[in-house]
Amino acid sequence: MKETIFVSGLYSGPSPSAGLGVARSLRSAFPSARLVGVDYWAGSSGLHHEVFNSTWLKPSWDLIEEGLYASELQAELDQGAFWLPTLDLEVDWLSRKLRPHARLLSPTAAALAPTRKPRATIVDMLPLAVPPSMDMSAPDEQVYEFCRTHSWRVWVKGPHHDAVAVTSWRELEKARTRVGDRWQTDRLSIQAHVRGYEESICVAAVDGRLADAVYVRKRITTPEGKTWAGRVGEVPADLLGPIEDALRSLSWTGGAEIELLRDVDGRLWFLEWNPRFPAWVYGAALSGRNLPGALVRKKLGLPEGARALSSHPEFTRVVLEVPVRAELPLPVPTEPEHGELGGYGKYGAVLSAIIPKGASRVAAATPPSLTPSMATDLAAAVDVTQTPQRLFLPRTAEEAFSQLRGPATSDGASVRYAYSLKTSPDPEYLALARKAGMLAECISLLEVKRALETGWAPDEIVLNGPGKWWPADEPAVDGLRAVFCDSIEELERLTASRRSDALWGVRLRVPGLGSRFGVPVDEPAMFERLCGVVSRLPAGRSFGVHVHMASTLVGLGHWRDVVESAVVWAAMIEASTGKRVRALDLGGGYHPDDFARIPFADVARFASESLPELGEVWVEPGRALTQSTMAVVTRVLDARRRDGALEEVVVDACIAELPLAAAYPHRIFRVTGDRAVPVGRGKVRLLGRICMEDDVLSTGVDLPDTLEVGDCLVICDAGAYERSMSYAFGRGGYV
Amino acid sequence: MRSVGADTSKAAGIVDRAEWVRASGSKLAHHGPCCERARAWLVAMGRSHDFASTDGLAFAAPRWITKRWTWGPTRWPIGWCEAVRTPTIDCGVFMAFALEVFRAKGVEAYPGQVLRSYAEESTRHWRHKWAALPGAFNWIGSQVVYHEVCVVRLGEHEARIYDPTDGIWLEPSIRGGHGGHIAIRAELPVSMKWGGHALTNGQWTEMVARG
Repeated sequence: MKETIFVSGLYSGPSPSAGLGVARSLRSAFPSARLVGVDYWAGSSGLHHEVFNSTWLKPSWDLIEEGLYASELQAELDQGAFWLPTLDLEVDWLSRKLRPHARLLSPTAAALAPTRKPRATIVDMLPLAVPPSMDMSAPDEQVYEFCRTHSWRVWVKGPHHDAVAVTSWRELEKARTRVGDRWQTDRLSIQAHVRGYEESICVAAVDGRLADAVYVRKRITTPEGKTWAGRVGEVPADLLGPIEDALRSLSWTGGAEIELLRDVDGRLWFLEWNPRFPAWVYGAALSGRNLPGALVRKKLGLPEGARALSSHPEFTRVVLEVPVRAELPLPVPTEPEHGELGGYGKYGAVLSAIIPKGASRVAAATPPSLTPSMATDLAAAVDVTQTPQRLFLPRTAEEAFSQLRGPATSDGASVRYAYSLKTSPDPEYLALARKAGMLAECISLLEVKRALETGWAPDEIVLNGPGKWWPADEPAVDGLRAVFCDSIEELERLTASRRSDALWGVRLRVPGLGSRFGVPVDEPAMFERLCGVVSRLPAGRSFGVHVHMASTLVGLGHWRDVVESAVVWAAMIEASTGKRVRALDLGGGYHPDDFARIPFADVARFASESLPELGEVWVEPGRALTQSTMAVVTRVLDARRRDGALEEVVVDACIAELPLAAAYPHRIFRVTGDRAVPVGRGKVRLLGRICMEDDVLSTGVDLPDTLEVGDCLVICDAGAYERSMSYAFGRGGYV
Repeated sequence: MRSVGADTSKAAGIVDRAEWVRASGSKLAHHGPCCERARAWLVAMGRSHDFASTDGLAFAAPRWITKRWTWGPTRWPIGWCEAVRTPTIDCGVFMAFALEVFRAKGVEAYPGQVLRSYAEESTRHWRHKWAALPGAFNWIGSQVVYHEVCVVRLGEHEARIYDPTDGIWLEPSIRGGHGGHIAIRAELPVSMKWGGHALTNGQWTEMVARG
């Protein structure tokens, strides 16, 4: 065969394109073919490989004349050359710029549409599970809920490439900005992580007719997540049939890679449908299955080539040096900059420039929502004159605390709620907590004093924390309901004391939690030592176990794991010491929505099954009850524009009033007339008033260009720690 | 401690040492309350590392065991209370630990043994290492080694093999060469299939013919 085949995408660095592998496969299938390597960056090392008869080095995509390039391609196709692209964005560009052509070995726009991220509808035809995902144009509070629901094991994904694992809201915001800037769009998605092995299916098809397909189990991947070695096999019959149906429905032409994850329970999860051959495709050819060759054979109507897998169908990659073509000298590196360290040699084809111009930078974001009582409370914001001012939202607070009035029923231990004073020690909250029949949870003797002054009796107070006996000059009130020690040493001191509290317990540092608090039990010697001290507790003293990890930080699934783990440890302590566990303290840190979703009665029932004499399960929902019950009204001090469009707004609130502004999303409203109008996500940065670089209250909100100095905004979800941890920075004095 | 199990004639041509033919899965000694606490600690550690709600996987293996302990010679017999505290354990202890954790979370698991092929370049070093500890199990042949694994029951007659020493699920496809599995023996209540291989209680199943 003396065909000419253009193969594009020759970057062969740590995250390689597939062009070189495709070309080597084609050379193996068609030794006399004329192969032309195409790329858009002089640093793409595949250009220098001997497999190519000649090369095309085109300008990078930000400089290429698209119309001219399209006409050049069309001319080559018309003269009988094949064009086989291996860059996702180039495949997409070809589908837009060229009419379907018999020699163009890539899918049409109609075929590509059902395979696009974030939700490839073609997967509906395949027997594959799909990881939960959501469009990040949803309100931030829904994105935040998604992350907590999936235990912060989530990926921020770009519209074409890029997936960044994030484990907190701060990381999510950084990833959103970085990926969004790279692709010049806010059309990002977030996907739950699936714990599984990386596998993939490579197919080749012509006009919807399958030419060949193989299954690869990746054995080694690079730190960038790219395949380094793999085992090639046949596609299982229960997958191959549906894949053939899918290819037929798409009239697919070209290569494709279906990326999968296989979990240890055997489920197969769909990740992505890539519209080109994978970079490891020559590894499959070495194992006996040459898919690029099969594609061209089918297109030319040639008989099928050999399709037998070798007896050891495994491949691996090596790093090789090749001589550089004299006509393509290496690019001279740019002068080292005073900027990001490292990172030289990234693919310089500027692929993001292929994305159609005019695509909206900002996705239409859905504004936040409010409960009716919160909407009523926020009406007070229009009357605020002195700013910044923190508003207490009475109806919202009443509603939050009222959910505790009906006791959580359980067949086993009863659920009792304890108000965490540190969260919000304001009198309004203490009164609501008393009214709701809550216990008091304190972390210092000053808080114990405050609880007693408010009306709680000693036997209604639970004392926690690493510094609970501080300050030393405060009387250590005796007869408390419970004291949970943070160390074995503290428990030993308590045992030696003459105190008469009803229950003494210990906070456990459950393995895998990454907490600084409690007694670590991940060494047998520590576990033995703890059991020794517990077994020496006075006979009449009840014993309890405390565990705490905020659901806001670890998410719901992991919170449940931590609790169940703590119950197992408590049962083991029981069995090892003979000391029965009478109370289990689950701590606080719940997001208001999580608090409503967690079935505490079920948790108590579960705990009772392992701890037969468990009497009470204590839950400390300070944050859950108060976070949404305050809002900060703030006034615009400066409105900064670029080309007439609002870009940054400075307000008179700051991180001193909102110290957790970057830690979780806050609902924001704009006061217009007598209404508070919800503000969605947008491109305007909201900056605080103080001279601190990190005083950024929002990285992007949708505010009108007409916003003026003096206008008011309302930042919600400003109760709880936003209130109790606020400080007086920049006010000309100290608290 | 290994006990003598059912004899199997098939293994005679495979194993380098006669004692491997009859050796059953390792069992740790149980001294009393100290060992009871050690087992309890291991099970609790297993639950803490299981992430059952987070990841929602029923058959997730105790990978943490592989990361926590270093592989090396163990002086047998060894009790639970000693094994959990020692930094270095052999494949028999790895197997016993993993079996305990699998069973504690309701996964049906059984002892298994495999024979693996290695070249002298590797076995010479292991032999040297093991020679330093009298009382360690003699598991190293010239080019075949004896290794303990867990047989995990998936369905009525379906099994998978977990190797807690390396933290991997073995694949039933025939593999020769370095670390390849030559034969497997499982201690099972019923016969099971592992890929294309039939596992019968106490019998060695040859996986690949040796040249």
